[in-house]
Amino acid sequence: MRLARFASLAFLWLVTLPALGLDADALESRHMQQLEETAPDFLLRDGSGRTFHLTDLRGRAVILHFWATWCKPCRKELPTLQAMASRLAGSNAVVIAVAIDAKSDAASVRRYAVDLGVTIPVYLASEGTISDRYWSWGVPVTYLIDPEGRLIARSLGPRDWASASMRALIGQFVAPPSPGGAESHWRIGIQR
Amino acid sequence: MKSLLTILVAAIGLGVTNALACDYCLISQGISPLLVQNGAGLKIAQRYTRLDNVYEGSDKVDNPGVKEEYWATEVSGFYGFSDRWLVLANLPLRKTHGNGELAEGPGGEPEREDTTGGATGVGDLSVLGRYTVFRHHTLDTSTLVAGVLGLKFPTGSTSQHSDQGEYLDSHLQLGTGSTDLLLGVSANRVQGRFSVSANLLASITGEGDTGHTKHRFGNSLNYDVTGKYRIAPTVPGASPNELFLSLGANGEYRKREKLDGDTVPDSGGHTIYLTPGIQYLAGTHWVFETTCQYAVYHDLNETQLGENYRLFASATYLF
Repeated sequence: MRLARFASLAFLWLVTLPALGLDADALESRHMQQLEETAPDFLLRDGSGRTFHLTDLRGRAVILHFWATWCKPCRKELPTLQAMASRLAGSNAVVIAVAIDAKSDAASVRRYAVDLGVTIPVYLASEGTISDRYWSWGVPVTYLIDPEGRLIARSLGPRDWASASMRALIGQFVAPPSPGGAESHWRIGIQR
Repeated sequence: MKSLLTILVAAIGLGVTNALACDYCLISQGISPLLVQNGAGLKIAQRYTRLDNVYEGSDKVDNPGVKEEYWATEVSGFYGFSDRWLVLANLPLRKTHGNGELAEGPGGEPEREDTTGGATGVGDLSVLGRYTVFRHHTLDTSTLVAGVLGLKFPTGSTSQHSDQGEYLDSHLQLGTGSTDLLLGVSANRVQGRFSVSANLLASITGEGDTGHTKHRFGNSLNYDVTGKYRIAPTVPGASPNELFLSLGANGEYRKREKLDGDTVPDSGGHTIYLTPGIQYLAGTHWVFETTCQYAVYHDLNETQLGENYRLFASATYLF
């Protein structure tokens, strides 16, 4: 009985892994770098003064995006990130946009984002404890963080997050919205 | 016939020629943004190489007044198919000029032979593929090791004449006349503000026609280790522009040449350079860089004209 249960679970794991996992080829073909380490925790504060830690998001897939108002490619990319965030509404994923501007105040950064049609919460790095290790590679840079809090991929440079290619990749990363509880319907991992 | 005789006399009879100014070795050397793994780019580079020192082995001897200069405007395009594959094509537009040729005097000392001239035109096209065999990324570091395989095609003319109407020396021609195989390996590690890259590029040469002769440049090995440090901004994100200083140690080892099957004794050797440089990233699309490869060590076979320095400047647009 236990053997049959184990075999069933193994079979389920095998058939769901290719469908829902992020394999190295999928990342490679989209010029994304594979990472395997725990994401350093940080605290961010939103426009209302509410704060959260990255560790508060355990159990959810996190798309962590860094940008700046002086970054021209970011200006083009942000609306596509917003489009992706809208599509992910109801899923177990969360999209976080962090502006790294050192010389702009939070109000003007958020106004800038609103003017671009961005409605997802926009955070300012200087209003939190987030390490510049995340964006020492320049901006825009985007990380995929799995529900266990592990960094699994890094995207350097601008992307069209609304493109079919990136939609497919994120579709593998994030479970589809589910009325019965998103957390139980998806898994994430890197194939080797 | 007179031209052939001149070449033979210059290269074999008097036993003196000059070291080769590598036209495409900087594909693997220096601080090029070709390390970029993603997307496509277009690069235009200007290079100037000057040779007016004479060496017997490692010893600098009196120059009887011979000088060679090379200018190259290189147009390179590259495209990264994925995180692993990148292809690159490089086409130089060359200008060469020689003022005098080294000959052997009655007492064995170098003397000047009055041959002047040069050529201007398209050089040899090279096409390279780069495959990343190892990569390891962390939040703070990125390490890549890649193999390079390429071909250099004989698209440059090898029948240019001097002011005296003879065929120019093979080094002053626009191309080598040969199809050469390029094999290399490169490694790169980035950590915070510091990065280091190491490159090795071997050129396995074929035989080409220069004037009426069959000429084969010696196989060569180019090597390079360059460190690069971001001096501004000191804090990431403070500016869209970044400024780097670099320092490289690199060199070129070349085997002797062959002329109509015979080895040219005064050819080939080893030159080592120190290469300081500056790289400026203007926003996310433009990369400007300049380096000076200053020759610090020569070990040339027999008596040859050796390189003093190479100046290099480039602008790259990343799409």
